[in-house]
Amino acid sequence: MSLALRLARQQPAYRDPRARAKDFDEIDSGFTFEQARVEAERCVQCSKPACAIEGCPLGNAIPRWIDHVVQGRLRQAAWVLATTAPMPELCGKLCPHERLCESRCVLGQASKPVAIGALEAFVGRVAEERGWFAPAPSRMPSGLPVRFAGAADRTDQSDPTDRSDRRGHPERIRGASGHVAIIGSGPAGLAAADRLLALGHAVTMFERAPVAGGVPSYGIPSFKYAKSRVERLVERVRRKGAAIFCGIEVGRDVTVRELRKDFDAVLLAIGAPRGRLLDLPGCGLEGIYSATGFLVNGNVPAECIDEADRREIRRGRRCVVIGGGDTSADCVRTAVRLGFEEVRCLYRRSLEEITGRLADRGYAQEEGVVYQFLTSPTRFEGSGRVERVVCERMALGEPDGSGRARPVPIPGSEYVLEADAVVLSLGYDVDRKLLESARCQLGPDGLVVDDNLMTSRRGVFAAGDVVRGADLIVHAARDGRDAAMAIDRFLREG
Amino acid sequence: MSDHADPLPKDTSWRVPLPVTPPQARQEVEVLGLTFRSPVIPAAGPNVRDGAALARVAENGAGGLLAKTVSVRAAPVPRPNMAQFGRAGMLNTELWTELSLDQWLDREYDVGLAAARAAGIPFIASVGYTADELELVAPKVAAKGVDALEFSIHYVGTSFDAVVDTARALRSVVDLPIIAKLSPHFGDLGELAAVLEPHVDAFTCINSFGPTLAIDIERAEPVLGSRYGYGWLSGEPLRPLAVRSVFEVARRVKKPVIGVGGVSRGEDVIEFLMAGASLVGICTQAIYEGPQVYERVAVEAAHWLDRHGRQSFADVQGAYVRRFGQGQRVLTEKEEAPRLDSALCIGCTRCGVVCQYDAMHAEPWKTPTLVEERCFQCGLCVSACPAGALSFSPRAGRTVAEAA
Ligand SMILES: Cc1cc2nc3c(=O)[nH]c(=O)nc-3n(C[C@H](O)[C@H](O)[C@H](O)COP(=O)(O)OP(=O)(O)OC[C@H]3O[C@@H](n4cnc5c(N)ncnc54)[C@H](O)[C@@H]3O)c2cc1C
Ligand SMILES: Cc1cc2nc3c(=O)[nH]c(=O)nc-3n(C[C@H](O)[C@H](O)[C@H](O)COP(=O)(O)O)c2cc1C
Repeated sequence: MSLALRLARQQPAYRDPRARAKDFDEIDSGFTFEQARVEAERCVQCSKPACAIEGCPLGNAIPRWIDHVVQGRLRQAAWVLATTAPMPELCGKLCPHERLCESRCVLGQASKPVAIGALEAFVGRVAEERGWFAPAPSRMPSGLPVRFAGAADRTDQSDPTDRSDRRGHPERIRGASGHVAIIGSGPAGLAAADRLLALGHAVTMFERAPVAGGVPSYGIPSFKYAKSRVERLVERVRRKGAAIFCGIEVGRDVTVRELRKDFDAVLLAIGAPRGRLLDLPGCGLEGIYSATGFLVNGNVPAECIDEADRREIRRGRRCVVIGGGDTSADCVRTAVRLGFEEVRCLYRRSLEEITGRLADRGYAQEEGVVYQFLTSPTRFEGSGRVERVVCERMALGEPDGSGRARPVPIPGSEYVLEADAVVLSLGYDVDRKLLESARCQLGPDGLVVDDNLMTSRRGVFAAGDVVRGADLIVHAARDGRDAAMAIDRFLREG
Repeated sequence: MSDHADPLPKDTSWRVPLPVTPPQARQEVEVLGLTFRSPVIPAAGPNVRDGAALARVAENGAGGLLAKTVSVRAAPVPRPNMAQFGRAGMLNTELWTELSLDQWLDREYDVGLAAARAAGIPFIASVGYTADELELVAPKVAAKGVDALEFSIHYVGTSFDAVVDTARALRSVVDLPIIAKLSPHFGDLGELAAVLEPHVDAFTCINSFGPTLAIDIERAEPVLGSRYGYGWLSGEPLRPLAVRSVFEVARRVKKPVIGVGGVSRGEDVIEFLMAGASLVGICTQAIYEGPQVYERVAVEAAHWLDRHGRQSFADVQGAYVRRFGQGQRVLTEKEEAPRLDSALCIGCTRCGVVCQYDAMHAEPWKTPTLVEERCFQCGLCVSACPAGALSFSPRAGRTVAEAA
């Protein structure tokens, strides 16, 4: 039997569920070096690696960098990874690998696939800690147009240089360098900034929230991915030369049209922030939260939350989370950590149709969460604040537009669940109002873009969830990277 | 495997993604009056077994072309004739081309040369073996219009006279740059190169090493089909021997050297160039990875130059020979335990495990502790550290001669 089949798939050490449910720290510390080496040995080094060709949206050269790990050359592994991956630590930890690269690992046919995700997280973590991804900062000052001079005071950016200054700067790396405005500092915006800076352009980012990072900063709970790691990523991009201005909302403080005039190109990377709502009797009661509202206020210190978004989370004994996606797993586990003793997740279809990651659901169940399938709320009751959720049982009917079986209510199956808090985790949409005001063409999911990720407005590009609708970090990162390349071509060739 | 069967189209659609920012350093190199697109070219083997393979190599960005060794007749290649050894090594008994000389002259050289011309890169042919054979083969190959001829000493015996005779014979029948490909089993390659230098224009170092033997213990049979099952070792395990041989030759002769043996990444190119090579050849890794290997390795090497502030490969070529070619030793005036940079340490515990002197104690995720009195300065932990956190301070880059 070959070595690859003899070795068992390595597992990082997980903390005991009872202990970890009491705090917001990460639940595992990732691979040790020896585990990483053993796991890397399991890679059979396919010549045409399906994991990379079909499985990885970024096209990471997976067998190449894994081979470096086998040889104990972590720095080289990190460099190979960095040629395609803008944020390997984040993707290594948060991608649904079992649906992406690992689903294409040929080893899966004979034993378990190589733990590509955990390996990437290991290399990414070591590299970020050592600063291996952070090259010498670009010598190009990136700054604000003069009209924002005041805004700089609200941020930690010390020396915003105005645009006329930069134009004459002698040390530009390439003749064609331009100045690009990126709106939104989530994975898509950060990936684009990273590449644009590497290609020799100046980058200025505008972020509505008080802290940069997008969903990984505000939505994804810190027990899944520590905030310090997001900060480190943002800091890397900042050190590379991006000027990041937080607390500026495009559409309110400045318009896309104005930015298009001030910058050589604009990238919209504002995500899909609108949580879907339920139009049911009683849904206006106090104690009913949107997933984002719940996650942000449950996870993030109040001073890092925009005043308009701050809400007190009502504590109690019972919490009901509605919806079965990835976000709902984050919500139930946050509820556990906020002290709710009885946390339920209601999903209107069955286990077969649920979209959220298996692993996350497993962690939630270990932490005491109860999943209730084929269950849907019909109304919320309470005096002022929510006290009960009235539910009904569902049966599965014919497939609907999404190809999944349509849930149909079973008449007379209503029953009541007590609840001190309810979280609606039903998915996200793009901010149509803002996008309409920007006069870019909109499709069913989000902005319409061409092959170069350019919107219907010349020189205005878009990347990430704002194009795809709520999606994945790795797709946002890929869009950001590709948009940067397209912007580079646009600036050089017009 | 019939000579005339149409080969299956080879799908090379997967390529290791190249870095998005192209390297700034100049990749072209000039050797023997020829301009190579990069210093990375194929070494003779099945990776360049016919015209179609050569064309793929050219299209995939190799710095130049070099074709499989031809001789008066097709090689009686035993089967099996290649076996993987370890992760990136190989044992082979492929001899030379299994195609006839006529087929090469009628078809394969034309296809290969056309691809080289289209890509604007030089084409080197490889011929073997004895003086008589070379006198017959070389003029016909030269007439195809190749840019240089390599001849292999692999099957010529281990006497200086025999090798010099073949070089002389070749010189007398062709008017092209001549490259001698040296085999490590010959012995002292530095001495051989010095003796050969008047008769050739360049050297290729090295061919595969052997003979070697690997046994399939389940069947008590050899893994290869040759007599006794003997084969020749190539790939990663060969590299230190190849680097030593290149250095040995480069410090004795002035003529250019093509370094071959276990090259699989950009850093290997830099190592060979520092040891005195002007070009590097790849065979085994090209078999394992495909024809895209040449460009990948060249780009990695050029990125290394960028990171180290060098403009071209000439900036590193021979750097090691100049400093250590006269037998200088690295300065170790003061015996000292390795220094640990705890900011770099990743807590992998490797140093603690490999230490045979119980001097290093390591726990996962923690910085190890070193008991200096026990340390024998063996150095293994320094080279085994994946993060470069351990180093020797007294070897801070000066040789005994430089210090004096
Ligand atoms: C709770 C939750 C958990 C998730 N978990 C995972 C996971 O485990 N794995 C995974 O792959 N994906 C996960 N996702 C999805 C993933 O986070 C997104 O696909 C990804 O963040 C999209 O990146 P983006 O850059 O397009 O948008 P975002 O990350 O949403 O970033 C957009 C940024 O733009 C800012 N912005 C918005 N409007 C404006 C404006 N008008 N002016 C200025 N700035 C503005 C926002 O404040 C935000 O910072 C999760 C999503 C959520 C909500
Ligand atoms: C399968 C195989 C066939 C080879 N055939 C030849 C040959 O015909 N002529 C020759 O000079 N060298 C031949 N070599 C030797 C290689 O050109 C090269 O010198 C050696 O393998 C070391 O380089 P590598 O480690 O990159 O493979 C062969 C090597 C292998 C593995």
